[in-house]
This record gives sequence, C-alpha cells and structure tokens, in this order.
Amino acid sequence: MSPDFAHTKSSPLFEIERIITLIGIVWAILLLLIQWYIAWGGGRAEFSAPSGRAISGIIYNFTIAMLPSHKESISKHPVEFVIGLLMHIGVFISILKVFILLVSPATIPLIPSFISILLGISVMCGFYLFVRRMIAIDLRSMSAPDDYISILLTIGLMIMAIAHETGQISSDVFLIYASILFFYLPLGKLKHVLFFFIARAEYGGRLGYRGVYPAHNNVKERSGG
Amino acid sequence: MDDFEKTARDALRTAIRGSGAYHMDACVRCGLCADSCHIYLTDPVPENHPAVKASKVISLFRRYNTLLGMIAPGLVGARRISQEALDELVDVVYGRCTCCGRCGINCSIGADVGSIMRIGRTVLASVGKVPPNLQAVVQNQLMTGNQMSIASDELKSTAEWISQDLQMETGSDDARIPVDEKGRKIVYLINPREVKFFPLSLSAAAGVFHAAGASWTISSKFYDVTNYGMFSGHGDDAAEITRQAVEEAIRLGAEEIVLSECGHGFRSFRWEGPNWMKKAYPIPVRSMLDVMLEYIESGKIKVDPSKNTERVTLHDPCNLVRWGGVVEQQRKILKRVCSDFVEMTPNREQNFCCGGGGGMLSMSEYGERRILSGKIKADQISATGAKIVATPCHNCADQLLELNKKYKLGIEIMSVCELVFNALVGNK
Repeated sequence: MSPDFAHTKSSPLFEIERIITLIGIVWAILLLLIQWYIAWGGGRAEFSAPSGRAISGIIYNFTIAMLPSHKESISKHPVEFVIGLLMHIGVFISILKVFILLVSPATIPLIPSFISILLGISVMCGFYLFVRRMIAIDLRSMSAPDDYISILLTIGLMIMAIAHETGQISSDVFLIYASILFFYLPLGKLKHVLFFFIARAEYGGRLGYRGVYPAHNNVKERSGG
Repeated sequence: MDDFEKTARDALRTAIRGSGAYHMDACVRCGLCADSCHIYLTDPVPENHPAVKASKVISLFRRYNTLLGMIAPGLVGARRISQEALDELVDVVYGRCTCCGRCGINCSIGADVGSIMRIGRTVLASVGKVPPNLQAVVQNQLMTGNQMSIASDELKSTAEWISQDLQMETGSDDARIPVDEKGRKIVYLINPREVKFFPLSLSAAAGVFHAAGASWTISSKFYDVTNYGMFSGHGDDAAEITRQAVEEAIRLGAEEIVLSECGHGFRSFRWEGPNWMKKAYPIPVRSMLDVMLEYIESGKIKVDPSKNTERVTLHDPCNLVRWGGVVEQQRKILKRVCSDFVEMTPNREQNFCCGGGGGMLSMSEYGERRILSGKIKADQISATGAKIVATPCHNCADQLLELNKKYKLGIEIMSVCELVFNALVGNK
C-alpha cells in the first residue's frame, strides 16, 4: 500500500498536483475533440444510394471484424497481438488508478500485489514493443521520435503506477508524471486513444453502407487445392 | 508559401475532410499490415510496407494539420510539401500500391490505408504529377468519351459483326446489340477493351440480354464503364467522365444503367461517381452481375451447369468486392452455371489483389513490379486446380492473362457473363 494514502487528502502539494492533472485531462479531451472537429471539417455528404446499413457495418467492425479469424494482423501475429493487448491493459489500469486517485485519494487498492504483477507484465510488453520498433528495419523506417516518446511515456506511467502501488513514490510524484502524459497525449501518436474509435466507426459505417460489411468470409464452403 | 505548395495543400485539405484525417490520426505504425499486402509479400523491402507507404502521405498531413507538425515537424515525422517530397511520393502511391484496401481491412486499428494512399494520389494529381501514361488514359476518356479512343463508327461496326455472329449462334434475328436506340429500359456501359480485345464478352452480354428479353442499348458515344480519373486521383476529371455517361443514359431515355463486369468501373460509377458529381443519379445503377442473378433466379433465363464442366474458380476484383459490396452475386451465379466451382483461399473481401489494380496496367514503368506482385494470385489459382478463372473485371482479366503466361498456369480467363452465356439452355 502507498504510504501516503492516509494523509494525501490534506497535503497542499497534492491538491496542486490534483488540479494540474485535472487541467491536463481537460486539455487532452479538449484538444482531441477539437482535432476531431477539424478532421470532420463539416463532413462529406454521401450522394450514392445505399446497398446496406451503415450501423450494421459499424457494429460488425467493432465486433466480429476484430476477431483473430477475421483479421490477419491478429491471426498472423498472435504474439504481437497478445503483447500489445497486455500493454494496453496496463495503460488502462494506470490511467484508472490516476482517476481513482483524483476522485478519491484515500481509496485503498483492493489487491495491490496482483495489480503490480499485471502492470509489471505490461511494462515488459511495452519494452518489447519499444525494442521491436528500434530493431525491426520496417518499423524503424516508418517511425518518428514521437513513436518512441509515446511508448516510453506509457511505459513510464505504468512503472510509476507500480511504484505508487508498492509505496515507492508518493501520490504527488505519480500525478506529476500522469499530468505530463495527459499534456502530451493529444499531440502525438497517443491520440489514437480517440481516433481508433472514430476511424473504425467511419470505416465500418462506409463498408456497411456499401454492403461489404457484415462480411461473409467465414462461410464454410468448398475450396480448391 | 508558393502556388505549388498552396495548390497541393488545398487538395490535401479537401481530400482529408470527413474521413481521411481520422485514418491518418489513427495509424499507430504497428507494422502488422505487412502480410496483407501482395506487393510487400512478393518483395519484402521497407519501401513496400503498407504502413511505410502510408506514412509518406501522413507526413504531409501532419505538417499542416497537427500542432506538433507545425511547431516541431521533426518530432512527428512531418514533412513540408515540396517538389522533392511529391516526386518521391509518385513512386510510392502509384508505383507501390494498387489501393486495393486489403491492408485496411486487416489493420489492427481499423485505419483505411487504401484511402490514405488515394489521398496521396489526389495531392499529386492537383499539381500535375500523375504518371504520364496514366494521365494519357484519363485524357482519352475526357477527349473521346472512352479510354481507348475508339471512334463511334468502329463501335458500331463491331456491334454489327458481333450481332451477325450472335444471330448465327442463337438462330434468332432478334439477337443483336442495339446501338443508340432511344427509349430502351437499360443503357449498358461496357469496357472499351470488350470492343477491341474481348468481343466474346460483349457478345455474351448481348446473348444474355436477348435470352432474357431485355430492353437495352449501348451508346456509341459515351459507353465506357471505366474511369481512370479514380486511379489518377483527379476528382474533377473523374466527375466529368461520370457525368458524360450519366447524361448520355438520360438522353437515351433509359430507366436504368447497367455496368459491365469491371471492378473499378463499378466502384467509380456506383459509389464514387455521385460524390464526385455532388448529386445523386436520377436513375439506378446496377452491376451486370445483379442483373444476371435476377434473370436466373426469376427464371427469365434457364441455365444448365453441365455446359460448363471444367473446374472454375473465381477471382474477386478488389474494387467490386472489397470496395463495392458485390460479393455473393457472382458466387450464386457461378454455382448455378458451373458444375465444378471452387473458391480461392482467401476470398471475398479478404481476396488478394491480382496486381493489376490502381491503374497499374496503364503504367508500363511499373510493369515488372506488377507481374512480380501477381505471384500471390498465381499461387492462389494454382492451389485450386481450376482450369478456368472467372473474373468480373477486364482489368483483372488483362493482368491474369499475363500471369497465366509468366507463371505457366495453363488456365483460361473468362468473364462471369461468358460462363452464363455458355450455360444458357436453348443455345447451341
């Protein structure tokens, strides 16, 4: 358990950090929404007659289309997929921890050792992805400094979360770090936290409208060879 | 900012509106799309990696549309639009990508990489950087109404001799290709390659229409289903090509436009055309595949699968299937007209591009890459053991003919319509 849980509520430094983190969160949300609005740009009118339903495509693209059986990026790269998934679980837990700390600073973690182990695994996954990006020629050639900064920032957040969970750092330090991440989030690659959903919805909707989605590619039938 | 940069930047701003920017902001460069690209699989160098290719377009987007791109471009890999940057982009978006969209369908995030690449083409087209051979095809369409500059008289005489052959074959004087006849229900748009190189395909369509008792005609002026403006990326050219054909169909008094088997022709006419023109068509547009399936299912034509006994497999044109949504019609038809139909693996929206898409066939400078990238399709075909490859696209058919020769596949390439015509009950 973190050593400062009992007194963080009354610490002025903590209160300042809490406000800065909240500003960081508002900044991130606002900037993401502004970027969404600019990207939308008034939208694009659709003049073609539909063959299917956009909503069916959107639902399909967020469900079945994401299954390994329907996505080569998963079925052909199960290790990377699991590693990526574990890393994202760690990031979400860490962000959740920040929110809990902001809303209810005195909350005592339920199972700190389990959370720390899980975060530890996520950190290792993060480092794997970082190293992979550095050494794989294809990945390196498409990467900008932002790609490395973004992953290091999220790994850092998870390390901070572990340190906080195990009482190595105070809540102030954890929140200082989190606010840095929130200020950077809408500027670089981390903005995919929003655009993942928007892009997937738009793509699914478009393919649904055209009758491509929901797809029938899993139909069992006779094939040659 | 000079005029060149401003023009390209304006084109970029217009092209990304509504969806393009979403996908550029969504790509995390995880690199997992590599295996989905036929070009990368056959030549696995970084330059062919879909995310590397997309990142070249995205770098321009970031420079003008993201905060860090504007104040610290190096940090996010943003790049200013310049002659040099766009010259490099030509090889990337025209020469290393067919915009088939397979990487997008398989993207772990859901970023539509194919559309990102098309945005790259739009930017290049805005400043006149379309490869000359591709642009020449567009110019042909704009100047003469069809991509091969076939004169109206030539079309008419071809229709005449095809009609004569068809009448002999069917034994009916009514079997013919009606040209420029007003008041017919259907205006049929064809690929000019059918006139020049694949008359059997046009003859088969005429035979099917005749068997079904359809009221149809083709225009001698604007009959081209293709639209290379889609490949060049120039929206205004694409809109003009679409407008010519739609207005001609209206002039002829048609109630419906039916599109011959053509992948990009279907996509450009059915889906992109109204958006390029910024207005809905006054009459419906359908694929010949829809029409044939309707004829078969309604009993307007009778077919006998024992007339096509060789093993048949189906190649799915990307623009018709993955971008167009015409997926099951051709399968239902082939199951009715062939006795031994087998699927390729993978198929439908997961099909691999044959390598001839995106206007590649018109850009001879990329010929070697095109044939190499077709190796995936050649292997798919070989694995089926099929003797006939049906493909509802003349562009794909051209590429498959070359793959057949190069990889010694020993196959025959046919349109779906030809197989339907073969299977017609009552035909010789």
